[in-house]
Amino acid sequence: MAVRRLIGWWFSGAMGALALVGILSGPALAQKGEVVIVTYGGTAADALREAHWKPFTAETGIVVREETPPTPAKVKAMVESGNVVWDIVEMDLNWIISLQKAGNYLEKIPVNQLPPKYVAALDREAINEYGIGAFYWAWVMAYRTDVFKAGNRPKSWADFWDVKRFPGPRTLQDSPGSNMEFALLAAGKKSDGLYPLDPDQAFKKLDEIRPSIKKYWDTGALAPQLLADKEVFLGSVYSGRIKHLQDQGIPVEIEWNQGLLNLDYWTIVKGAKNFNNAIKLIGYMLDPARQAKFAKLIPYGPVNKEALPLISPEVARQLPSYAENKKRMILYNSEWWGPHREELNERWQQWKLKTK
Amino acid sequence: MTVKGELAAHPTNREGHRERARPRRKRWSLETLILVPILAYLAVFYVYPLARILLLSVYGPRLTFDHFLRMVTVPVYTQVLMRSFRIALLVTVLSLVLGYPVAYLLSNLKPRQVALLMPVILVPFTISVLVRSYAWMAILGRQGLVNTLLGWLGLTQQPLEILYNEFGVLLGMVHILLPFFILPAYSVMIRIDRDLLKAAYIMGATPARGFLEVFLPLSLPGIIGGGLLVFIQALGFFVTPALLGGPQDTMISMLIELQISQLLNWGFAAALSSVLLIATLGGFMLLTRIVRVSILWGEAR
Repeated sequence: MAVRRLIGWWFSGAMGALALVGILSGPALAQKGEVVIVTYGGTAADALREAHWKPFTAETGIVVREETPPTPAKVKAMVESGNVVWDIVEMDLNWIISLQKAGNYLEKIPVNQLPPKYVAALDREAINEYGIGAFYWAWVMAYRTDVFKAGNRPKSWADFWDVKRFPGPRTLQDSPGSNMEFALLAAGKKSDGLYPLDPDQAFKKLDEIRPSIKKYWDTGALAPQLLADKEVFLGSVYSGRIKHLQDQGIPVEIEWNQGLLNLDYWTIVKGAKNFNNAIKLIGYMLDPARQAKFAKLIPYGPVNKEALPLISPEVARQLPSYAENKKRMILYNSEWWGPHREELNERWQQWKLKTK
Repeated sequence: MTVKGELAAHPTNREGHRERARPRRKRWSLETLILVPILAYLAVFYVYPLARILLLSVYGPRLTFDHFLRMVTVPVYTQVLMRSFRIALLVTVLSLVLGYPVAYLLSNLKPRQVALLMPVILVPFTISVLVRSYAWMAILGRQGLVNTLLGWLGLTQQPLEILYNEFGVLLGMVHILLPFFILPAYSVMIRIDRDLLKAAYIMGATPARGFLEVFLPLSLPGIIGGGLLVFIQALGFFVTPALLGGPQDTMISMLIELQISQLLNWGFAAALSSVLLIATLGGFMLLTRIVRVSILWGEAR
């Protein structure tokens, strides 16, 4: 029977194809001499590649493979399925805490295997059990200078909340983190006594600004986009995202006062295939000269204190770890957020639904 | 157009009957053989993960119903679920109102005219949902195409607020989901025997009555099929409402994403997903009570 034979052929063909898919998608063999690093990509990765990865490969012969973006969910899934294809992952302390609370998904960093002279020059907060500081960033206020002219510009979160003096649509991040801090600062809390945060007071203060918030941004790119399109006149943004707008001639400015300073870490996924290469690369990226080069390419702050003197003043002024900026900011307290994140996220979602 | 060809290739009811009337025993093994790969595929990549998700919602590290309890006791989850249903229902109704006339028009055209018009409906499929949603941001914004044009013409003093609110969400979602209504509706309509309409007119029916009492009921499977496709997809929509919506336009998929990728509470995310799945199936069941869903897969009426 011709039909039957045909179907038989088709069937074995389909099975063969399935088998082939299985073989091809199977775990790639671990090669010697490579390391997989996961960052948010974009201009930050361009800067990292230029300042660190290219010279690293040239010197050691170890190939740096880039992936993007980092998500703790993927780290969790990789470790649980036993198929770890990432080595170094960029993440903030919130994620480190979440991952280590949910289980054991990150390798401890053997600090004694890193170059001692670099480690000695690191800021205290840049050394964590499960991560080594990558660079500083901050939540800061940014505003349109064509709307708020010189002499009448918002200088604090109390000004941000003052919709009479500074009218216009605003944006904040779609997250309780940073917004609660800013609300409490607007309510008159001092920077020193900000933590532990008072959720009731924070949400009460947030009620006041609700009618002026046009959109809560979720990805870091949305806030500068809203400012560039003049959808909002002021808002909270990631500090590194504003220079790009200014370079395009868009009239926006950062107010560093009462910004919230945070840093990303290099972490190593539990069971990483290229653990030793990962340690090598992390150590390599702590070099002050290379950190200075990185900061010139993108305005994120170096964690090695010896890097700052190597940066020209006009570039340094745009960095969150520049002394003048740093002393006006508050260090984001991930340890406080750790046990409160889930509950406050729920409360934030509930709060967002309320009508004006 | 190949797509049209595929749509038209559905067997008519009469042919279906003829196939069914053939002796079965011999064909059975062949049919099973054809089905094995796809069933295996579904079992491995659909049934198994789904079962894992359902299990995850009640088990981890031991049997618990805490996740479901939290969903009921904390109001935000039921509120967002209700909102998601409301948006999905509105999108479905709008797709029906806008899509039905288009499908009707297409079904009355000559094949060559259809071949010209069909790409207009299908081309958007080739562009990702993300890109299309971003495009709407450029069109609807305060300094976007619409507001700039209205300002030039002097029709508006202030920019219209058409982005970052429910209007933006509905517009974006209907735009993306409309083809999912039009195509099934069209494929049903072209199979409707137009002689039945002629018969109605001969019997003295007005064109309106002929449409309402003959064409409309016969096109019902298309409406239900298309409507279901749109509704089920709309219920789980993520990108478009996230980009075009305002502060209050939270969909249940966003809360699930938050739990999975930010808070790493996969058990709770699984519970939320299970409720969404059950609610969707529940809606489908409800529909079977109202209309005979079996007409979807061509059971004789």
